[in-house]
Amino acid sequence: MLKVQDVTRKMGKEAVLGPIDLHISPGTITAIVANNGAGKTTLFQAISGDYPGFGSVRVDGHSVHSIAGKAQLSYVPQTYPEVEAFRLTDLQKLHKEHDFSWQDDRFQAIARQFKLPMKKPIQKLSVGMKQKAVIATQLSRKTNVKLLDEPFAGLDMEGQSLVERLLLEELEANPNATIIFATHVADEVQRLADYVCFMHAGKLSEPVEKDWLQERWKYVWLQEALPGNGPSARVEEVSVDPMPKILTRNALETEEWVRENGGTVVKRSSLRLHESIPHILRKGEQNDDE
Amino acid sequence: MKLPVEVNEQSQEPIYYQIEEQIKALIVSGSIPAGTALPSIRALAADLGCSVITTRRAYQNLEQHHYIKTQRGKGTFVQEVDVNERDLMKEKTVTEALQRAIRTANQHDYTEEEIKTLFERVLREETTDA
Repeated sequence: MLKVQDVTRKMGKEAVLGPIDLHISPGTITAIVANNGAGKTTLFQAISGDYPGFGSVRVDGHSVHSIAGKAQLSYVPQTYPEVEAFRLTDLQKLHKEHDFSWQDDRFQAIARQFKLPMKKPIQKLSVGMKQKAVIATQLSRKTNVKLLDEPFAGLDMEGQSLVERLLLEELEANPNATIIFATHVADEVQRLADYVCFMHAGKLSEPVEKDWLQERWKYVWLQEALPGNGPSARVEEVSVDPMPKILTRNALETEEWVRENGGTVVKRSSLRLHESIPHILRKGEQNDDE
Repeated sequence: MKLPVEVNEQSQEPIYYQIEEQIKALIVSGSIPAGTALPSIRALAADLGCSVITTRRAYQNLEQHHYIKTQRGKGTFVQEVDVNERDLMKEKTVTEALQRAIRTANQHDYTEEEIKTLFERVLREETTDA
């Protein structure tokens, strides 16, 4: 379980991250999506404890800065200069001797599946291999909270599927496991997430159920255009060519409004996440839905 | 195990309900017999691209109506279905399919007579094909 309270940080010279509040329950996968520059990486650094400052982050009730907190947190950042100088065998030895969350058999199995070169300095590895090395290390630790900043970026397809499978295995095996990952790819949200949080200008939305997005964001086609503009009824966009079509962020309300105004819905279709997410990110958090 | 279940994006029904109804139909029709182990809520969610909140809700509803049973640490299993209920469910499934067809016909301004004529023709064609 992860509890983030009132976390505030500076991002660059002027922009500010937060205040961020986030409460994540065990057994769930949360995707954090953001446009570039929204503060996602600063947020991940702040949650991981890499960027100390105002506010509190608690992992299973322990401060993220405490040993007990760190022992329950696996963190895969976007860059990892501190491990570049090592070889994987060095890291393995280090964890084996000093990290009581370390599961060496798990590490060996993952390293084998990724075909990781154990004896090369990590800085000599390709971008994708480095990423796999760090993921393998962090997923070999028996922790309840996995925090991953764009874990799939730079991985080949086989690597992506493997990481996806490892994360799912993690959740199946440990009912207290929680995964939070950042992504720019809607398909990753679709395949993995239970909840989505949207970041906009340093602010983070409440977690939204992924399926809720699909049930609400729809295209609705009408038999005939309705006269006048009417109330918004959650309507985002309207087009009439070749048929009257409404893009709504709350299909139930929009359809009710259509019926009340004597219109007929001919067809409806859910937006895919890659269609709805950009709309949400553009406008930032929307507090008017429930 | 992978279930032949899919989410229809054009449906107005909530996703959990679609999953619930399709699994129910598979159980009632005997396609997945009593004792069969179902995928975990996480595996089903990953398979369908939906959330565990949705699959959990579908399973909870199915469990409440005794179609499935979850045994802690073991998994979720299909239960025996009552014969009478099986007949009722079959009738319900077919009735709903017919209702959908009639609604489509109404949308295209068919009269009752026209629907009947069309129905009989399709019925004849389907019976000859079979």
